[in-house]
Amino acid sequence: MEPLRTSDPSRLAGHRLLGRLGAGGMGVVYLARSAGGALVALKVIQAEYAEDAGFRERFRREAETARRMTSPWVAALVDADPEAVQPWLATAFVPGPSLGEAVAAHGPLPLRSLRVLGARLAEALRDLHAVGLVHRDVKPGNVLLALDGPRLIDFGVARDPQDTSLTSTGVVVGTPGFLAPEQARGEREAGPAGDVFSLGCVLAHAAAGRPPFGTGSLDALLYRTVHDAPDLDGVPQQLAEVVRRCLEKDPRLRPTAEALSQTLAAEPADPREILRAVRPPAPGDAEPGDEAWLPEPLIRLIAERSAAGLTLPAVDDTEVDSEPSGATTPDEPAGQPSDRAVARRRFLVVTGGAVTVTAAGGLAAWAALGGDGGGNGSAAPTATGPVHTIGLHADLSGDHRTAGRAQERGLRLAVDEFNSRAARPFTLAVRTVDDGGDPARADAAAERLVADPSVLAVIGPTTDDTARAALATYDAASLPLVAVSPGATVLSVMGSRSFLHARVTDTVLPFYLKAYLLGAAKSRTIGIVDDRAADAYAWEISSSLSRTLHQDRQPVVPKVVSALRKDFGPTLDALLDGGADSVVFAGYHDRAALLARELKHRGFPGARAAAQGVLDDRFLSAAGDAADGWVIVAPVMDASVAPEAKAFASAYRRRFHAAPERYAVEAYDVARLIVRTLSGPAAGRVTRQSLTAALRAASYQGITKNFAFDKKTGSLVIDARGVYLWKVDGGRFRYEGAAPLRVSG
Amino acid sequence: MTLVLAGSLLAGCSAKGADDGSSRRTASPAHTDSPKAAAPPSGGSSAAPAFTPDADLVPRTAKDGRELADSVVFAPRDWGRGYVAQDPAASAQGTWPALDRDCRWERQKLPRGVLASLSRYSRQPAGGGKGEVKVTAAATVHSAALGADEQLSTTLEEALRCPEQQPRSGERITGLNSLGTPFGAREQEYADDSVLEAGQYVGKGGTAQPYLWMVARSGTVVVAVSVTGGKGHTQEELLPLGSNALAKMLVRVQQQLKEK
Repeated sequence: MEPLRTSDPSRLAGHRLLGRLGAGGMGVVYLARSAGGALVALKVIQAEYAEDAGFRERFRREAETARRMTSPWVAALVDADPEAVQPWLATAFVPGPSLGEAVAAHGPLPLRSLRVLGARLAEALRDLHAVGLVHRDVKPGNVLLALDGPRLIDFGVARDPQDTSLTSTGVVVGTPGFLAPEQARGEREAGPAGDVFSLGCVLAHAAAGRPPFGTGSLDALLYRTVHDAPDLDGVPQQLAEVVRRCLEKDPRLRPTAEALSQTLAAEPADPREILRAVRPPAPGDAEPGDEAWLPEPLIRLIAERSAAGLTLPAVDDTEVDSEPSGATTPDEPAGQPSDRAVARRRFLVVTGGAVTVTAAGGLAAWAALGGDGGGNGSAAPTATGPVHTIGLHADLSGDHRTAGRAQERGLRLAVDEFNSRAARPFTLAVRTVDDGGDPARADAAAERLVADPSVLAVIGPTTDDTARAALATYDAASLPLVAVSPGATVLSVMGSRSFLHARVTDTVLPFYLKAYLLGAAKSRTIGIVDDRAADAYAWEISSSLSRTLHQDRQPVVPKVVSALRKDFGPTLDALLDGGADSVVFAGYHDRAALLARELKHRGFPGARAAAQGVLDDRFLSAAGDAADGWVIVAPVMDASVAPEAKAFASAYRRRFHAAPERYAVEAYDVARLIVRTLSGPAAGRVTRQSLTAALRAASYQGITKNFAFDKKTGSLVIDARGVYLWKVDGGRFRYEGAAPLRVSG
Repeated sequence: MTLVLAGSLLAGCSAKGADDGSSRRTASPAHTDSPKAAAPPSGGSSAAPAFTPDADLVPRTAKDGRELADSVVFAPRDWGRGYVAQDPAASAQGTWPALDRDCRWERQKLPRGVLASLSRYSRQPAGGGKGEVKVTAAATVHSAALGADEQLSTTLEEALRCPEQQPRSGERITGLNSLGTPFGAREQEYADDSVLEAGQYVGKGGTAQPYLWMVARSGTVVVAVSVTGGKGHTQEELLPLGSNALAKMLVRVQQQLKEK
């Protein structure tokens, strides 16, 4: 929530405004306290719309209809005034988080949560449609999560029909990716079937973690919505068919909301599932436990938001006493802080407990109240302390998604482990942002994490280029950024005050390459192929390697290959001409495969080596048997076989039903480093800035390496650990353990 | 360092744009237009070239290549007031520089695929308490973009192969740091490719002076500048001198070759 702006009034239509929840084309939505003391979302329409008599008439009609409609899963209309100079309407305030936030932070929902979500949202739409309302903008951001179920907000009242359809100028104002094809085409005013389509998108998104028509440019999204089959990979098969029917291109083929709610509620075959899914919420039911409809981390997130909402009215203590403390709003959902709780807190304010309660905020305040509210079932989570979020900035959908997703899993495992401790000073959440590996998107991704005040540290980004593009944004916000996979030296010399480089830079790897080639591989003259297609990455390796060899007075034959060159034949001629008996390739996997084939073709007998840019399964598939014998030196451990990572690997297998992928354990290590630092002596007063300083001063022995940093630059203090050897053998990368730094044998 | 260079190169391109009219060939009135082609929108990894020449104007023969090089390469007066020609004032026709196996520079006959290469040597005599500044401006015209691109790869390779180089007997270039920056990388948007080298020049007298070597490619043409500063000249002061000259030479190439 944003604070009020100086242009905002402090009171409006008997409401005290507390902050801004959002703003759009039609007006502003405020968090406000009603005269009766309830927290409400107050939508105030811009005067220019109000001048339109037709608009006012529609507003009045729809508000009356909405007032008559009572659905437990729709944030209820509390009050409205269509006649005011600036017409407004107030709905019950749901502290959230939104479904969109929840999925971003915790990944896809489990099947049971999905069924409850689907059934209840379908009920909500059924109730809206039954009184003749159409929502027109069902999307993850408009679904808020409460302890007892979802709440659909921002229903169709007072929405300009143009908002969610293609306007005459060809601009879509709504939410592409969740719009029905008929809306995307701007063919007609959205009907109930459009809402059902959008709900299908919402469910697919919640099930798979990504929208069924992808992300990206508007044109592409709209095109895919209209023409392509939805991508339902990752949607549990028990739900896929229902979702697919919602996503029929022809609105007439989609189920009605009524039919959908019945299907989803009836779906589970296991009687215990039925009990869990459709049992009406009962007081005291919100305890995180077996009956909770959401996974535990989400329950905590909801509790935290609710508690934050509780502390809000404290901003105007002066009013506390004058409020009638017994006032309640009948429509208030069970999951919200009850007025009784609010009143109780006010009592504390008055009696002097205020300072501590207000200052502690968060769950502490909530827990303190929970005891008082006991009987009426105020949801008092077992968690203690506040919720801190660790962000993951990664490529989750682009060229380096394998590494990005592995880092996400490593982080989630560390966070889950921490949250499973009974006595912990705080609860951790994860929030991911995906830049697709595109430097042009990296900055916006960073902005999203920076804007979330609960995010205290970020792991990522995945690549050199995205890291470089995002560095300044994190620096400006003093938000610690801990990079696991990028290796560019430039990252720690750009002057960022919040950066930590949790691996050795690419210029360090040549020392390991040299040790391998002159040692185990017994090379006498090392040849270097610098591929300019790999730009700075290649240059760090080739220039550092040739420099150290010159200093050792070792013969070296460097070749630099133009990015425009497609074959490595002439390069190899020159290398052999110069007497090279081994080759280091400084470049990426795709062109390494070209070189590998050329070397194989010529029967080159010497050693072939590269750094982490070639540690990619695509090298294996592109090079085929020509990849055999290549040795990779990389700051990446194979946690699936490394003895040091045994416990990690089994926990990982239990959690994800897969062997740990590359970079998972490195992210896990870093997450543990952050967690440990957060839990330090200053745990109660951690800020982004203080955490940066504490991390840079930390010393931590991880599974993969020892962590200690240069306090000024954030670069890793180099010791012998953290670099590993991999050798291609029989079409796969075989792990060879720690790479030696000294020439042996 | 690289950012400084890229910045000043861009500044050189956009500040005044055209050169001051000293180009030998004034093919069209568009000659002094601002070179918009040198500043495409930023896009990071875009593969689009910095400038697309008119295919009919791209040199195909040695004669065309020589004419283009002659009109592009900075003469003493292009460098500014007080600059005079060294002796010799220019390289021998039909040759270009090459670094031999022993890291010594020599002039060799142009290889196949190179249409023309011209270097002009100028200097600003010592004065006002400061030492002499020696500058070189060069252009090499290739018959294909690949050949031009490989000239830059070779430049980088030379730095890997010979961290210490010998321009003439008794002179040394040491402590070389090099970085290639292709179009689109690190905000480089003025040329298809570029290389910056910085090091020390140690003359016969034994004193070290700052030395810079800057190279940029536009299509099939490679332009280059070297700057060696005498006593009292810092590298920071010599950088803009070199980068402005390089940028202006690049603008001349693009003006000669752009669609009319």
